[in-house]
Amino acid sequence: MSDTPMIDQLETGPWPSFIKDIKRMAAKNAMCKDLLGLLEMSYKDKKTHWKHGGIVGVRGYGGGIIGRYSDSPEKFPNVSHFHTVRVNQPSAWFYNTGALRYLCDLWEKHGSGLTNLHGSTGDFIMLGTTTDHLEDIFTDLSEHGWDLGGSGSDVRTPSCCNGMARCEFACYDTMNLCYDLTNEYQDELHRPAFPYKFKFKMSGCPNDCVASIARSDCSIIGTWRDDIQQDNAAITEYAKGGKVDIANDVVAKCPTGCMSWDGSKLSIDNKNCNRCMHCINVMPKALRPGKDKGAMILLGAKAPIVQGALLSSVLVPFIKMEPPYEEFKDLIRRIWEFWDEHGENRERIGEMIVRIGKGNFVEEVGLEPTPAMIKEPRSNPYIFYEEYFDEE
Amino acid sequence: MASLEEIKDYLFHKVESYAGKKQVKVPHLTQEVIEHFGEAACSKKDVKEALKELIDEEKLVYGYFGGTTIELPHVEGSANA
Repeated sequence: MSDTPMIDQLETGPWPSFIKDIKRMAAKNAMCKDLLGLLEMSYKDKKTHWKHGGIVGVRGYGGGIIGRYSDSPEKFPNVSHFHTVRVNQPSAWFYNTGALRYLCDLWEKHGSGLTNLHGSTGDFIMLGTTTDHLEDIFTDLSEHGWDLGGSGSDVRTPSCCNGMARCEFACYDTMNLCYDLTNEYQDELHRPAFPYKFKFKMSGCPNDCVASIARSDCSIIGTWRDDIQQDNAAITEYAKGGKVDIANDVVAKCPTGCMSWDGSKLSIDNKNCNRCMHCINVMPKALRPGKDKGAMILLGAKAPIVQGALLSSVLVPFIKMEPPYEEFKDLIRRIWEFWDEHGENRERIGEMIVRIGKGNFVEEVGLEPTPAMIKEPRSNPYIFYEEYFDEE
Repeated sequence: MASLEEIKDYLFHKVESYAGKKQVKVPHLTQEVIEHFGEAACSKKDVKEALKELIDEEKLVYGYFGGTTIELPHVEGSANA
């Protein structure tokens, strides 16, 4: 009989199992063998046998290493330490095979060989090493041009979609901004000094392929402020081709009803378009984002930890997002100053905004309230126009 | 104006005073140091610089306990088990 009957069941499902990977590595790595044993014990006992937190890191850095210790070192000595290393990923996860080979070889030399591509932060995650290997890993990474990512109460490793590198819808250069912010905020990334974590995620268009609206404290989503670019000849081709039923597949599904189709001409009331991207996604050869491109900035998403989950909501409806991004960085500086001053312990920025009120927050960070500061299209704005009520 | 050495010294002793009693975090420490010296004599930037030096000198280290903490260097209890 197998030593791990409970976790063996995870291999019987329709999806690839992480247990299969661990077993494959267990043939040549003692850590992985003990990891299977510890996991089996956790499933049997219905509780984790990992202890979380403590002091683990490399010199000068407050982030990048997540400490894991087992509570059963006598039973599974090879996983008594099983720290995670977060490596700052290249923008949009572009690697060449040489880079991947280097990272995997490094990890087989110093750790369990198990990786996670990519963690929800965006980092290249290396799972399982011991404290005495950490400085060597860091030195080796640094010598090869890599750096650790964020963890703890700091700026987490910024991440982005592949933007202009591969996507015709990108409204700004996400990879450039991601690289720029990573360099700009090195101190904030490696020396945690915030009330809690702060994540940037960048999507080039409202399709939001990196789900920044749900997964980052600051979502930077590409958008445009003029009209959708429309190629009427290409629309006719779609109509003739028969693959797209424009009336039902495009017009009827427009969330704001801003489109009409008379059988030969598509009309768009652009003022009522909420940039949902549906029509553009269905007819990419005929419709494109407008020419006056930039980004909207949203604030406040988080997963449930201390409090419940939040989605980001609009803070700046449109900003030109071009190097050196001074306007954006200036806004971030004001936001951080306010959060640093008024944020409570382990309070994410979105939670603080809920606590103090969006109107107050907007005023404190020096923005003019606009009706576009909403949670989602067609919602009421947060802002109460007191002067208006006073006049009445 | 408080000198960098004075700020470092006070910061270190603050962390020392919390050792074993409280998991102290950077915003809390920053506030305490500024209150001690007064806003005119010590800014957030000064505290940040002092902390950076103490960390680089390995007199203080970062820890994690529901967010990042500042601690005196010690061997993690769990590591000895």
